[in-house]
Amino acid sequence: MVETIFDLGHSKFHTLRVMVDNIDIEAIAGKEGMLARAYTDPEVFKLEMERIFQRVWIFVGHESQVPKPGNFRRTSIGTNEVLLVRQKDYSLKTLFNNCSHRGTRLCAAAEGNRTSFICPYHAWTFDLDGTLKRVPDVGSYPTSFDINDPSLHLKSAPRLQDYRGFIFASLSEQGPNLIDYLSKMTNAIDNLVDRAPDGIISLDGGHFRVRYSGNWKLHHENANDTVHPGFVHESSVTAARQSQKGKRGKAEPIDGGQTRGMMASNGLSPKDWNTIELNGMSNGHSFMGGFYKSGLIAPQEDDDVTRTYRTALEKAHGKKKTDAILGMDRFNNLIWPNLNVNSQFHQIRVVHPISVNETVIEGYCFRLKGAPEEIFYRSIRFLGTLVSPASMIFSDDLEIFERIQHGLENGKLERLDHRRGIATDKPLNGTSNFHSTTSSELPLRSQRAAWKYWMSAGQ
Amino acid sequence: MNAEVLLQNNVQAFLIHEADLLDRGLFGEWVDLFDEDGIYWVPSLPFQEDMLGQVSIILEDKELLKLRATRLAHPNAHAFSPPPSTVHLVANISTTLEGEDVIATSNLIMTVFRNDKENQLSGRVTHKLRKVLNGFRIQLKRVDLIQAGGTFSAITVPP
Repeated sequence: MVETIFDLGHSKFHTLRVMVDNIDIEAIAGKEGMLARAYTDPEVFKLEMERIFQRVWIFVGHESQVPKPGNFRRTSIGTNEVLLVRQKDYSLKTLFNNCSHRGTRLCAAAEGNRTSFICPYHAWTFDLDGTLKRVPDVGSYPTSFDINDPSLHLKSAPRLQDYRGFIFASLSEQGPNLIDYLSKMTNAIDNLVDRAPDGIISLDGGHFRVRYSGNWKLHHENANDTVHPGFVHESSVTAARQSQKGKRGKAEPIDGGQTRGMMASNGLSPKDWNTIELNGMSNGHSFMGGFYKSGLIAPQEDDDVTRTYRTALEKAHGKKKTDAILGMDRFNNLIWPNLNVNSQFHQIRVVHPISVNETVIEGYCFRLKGAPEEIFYRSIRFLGTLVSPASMIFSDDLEIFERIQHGLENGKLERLDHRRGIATDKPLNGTSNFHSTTSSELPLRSQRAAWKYWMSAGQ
Repeated sequence: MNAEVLLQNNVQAFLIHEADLLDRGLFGEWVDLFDEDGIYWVPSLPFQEDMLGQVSIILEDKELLKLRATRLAHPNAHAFSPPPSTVHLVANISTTLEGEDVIATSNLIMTVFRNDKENQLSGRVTHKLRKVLNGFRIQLKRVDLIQAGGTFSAITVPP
């Protein structure tokens, strides 16, 4: 690979990307664990942005965020800032948020509605689809300057596709189509949408952006790790159990014990680790299951709100399908590399890599059309309890991510270990996917496999 | 001393005492300042009106605040181990009466220092205080952070 560093238009000075060429993907993505430099080396991070985030399907938003023509929302594809824009014909585009004249950040607002995007510097004006409409004093440009030249338009993601309102973009012209890429993870999205009695869900109730000083991979690696909760969340588990005992009918006006219950539920014992089922796919996705089957979690609360909700769902789908929707026994559906769908509680988390040792996590929840308002309030509480920067649970995860990063940058460990469960994972018939009924690190190995594939593919 | 000045002095002393408890890590005693039906609220958005239909950074009743204090006292509260040093600077205090209650508004600058990193949270604070024998109890403490809507690192000590 060759990169131009000084191109003044006369002669070209090339420098070999020595460090990049030296990145041995095979060695980094070892069968027993990743090399530490996968988390600490800025050159590896740079290559990840090129080969993973600029090629695979990246979640860029939900259709409800940009309902009307001119609606836009700022997000990122890897380290590229983009605007998700609803077009005049209701189609969608993902535009790079910088002017083609001097590179200025075009739109400083995080969201809004525009008829065009006007650069604040010299007022170059772009249509919603990114075409350049107007350049002040265009007459002073040479004849070779053509306002209709596509290279002067805002760059946009060549591929954009949605699955039931979940919008993904790819910066690569080629690659698997979205449905094939998502494979079994479409079930998680189906289940979330089907939970709305009217079949419509919308992101609502606000969101969080939380930063940690650690590599982006650490968040997904933690999400389906079944052993950590009992240790990392010990303080909140213990406090929640004590609070339960000391409560004696005291008023809990805010959420009637929901937060306390969520905190206590992390108190998984070694026996519990081995009842949770894990599914890991060779394309990097994974999910947990088996919580209802094992009785670790009840499929449903039994209260008036839930009964009203169930009645509304049965009216829409019938009893049999309602049982199937509410009984779907899957948690933390990780769509590699940047989305976590929690269908049961109507939540998503989005991973935004900032640099090799800095990551931002966004957390959102959905409103289910046709469900009682109280169901929405519970989703909002769930989001606050789990993803707020002041969360009594998440703050400890963030602390661990930062300690891992610190340890890897300042320690002597060459290779991390992800062998747990490797001998007991079972291949699923006729697929390259695996299933585990032990406290396996299968999800980590799935993520490693996808990482290795995309980092090596098409060199 | 006229009643207005006396009230202002008493409220100021109360807010300084509250800040002091937080900075000394005496979270149980801090929670005791809340009335039995008291609420602590840190909205996620500027000018947030909706408590339930919009997510909050913290929205807790007294039972949840006790839980928060208990968790911070646990030796394995990793995000709090080691605990940060903090200073809550409370200023620009003004008080008004609302029926029997006192509404106190103040500005807050909170500096947090932990693991050689410094972080700051600032905001406008509204206390709704109920007068009790020898002082006040908090009915509502609302902290509108200027950082609301932005990107946060983990928060352990309440602002």
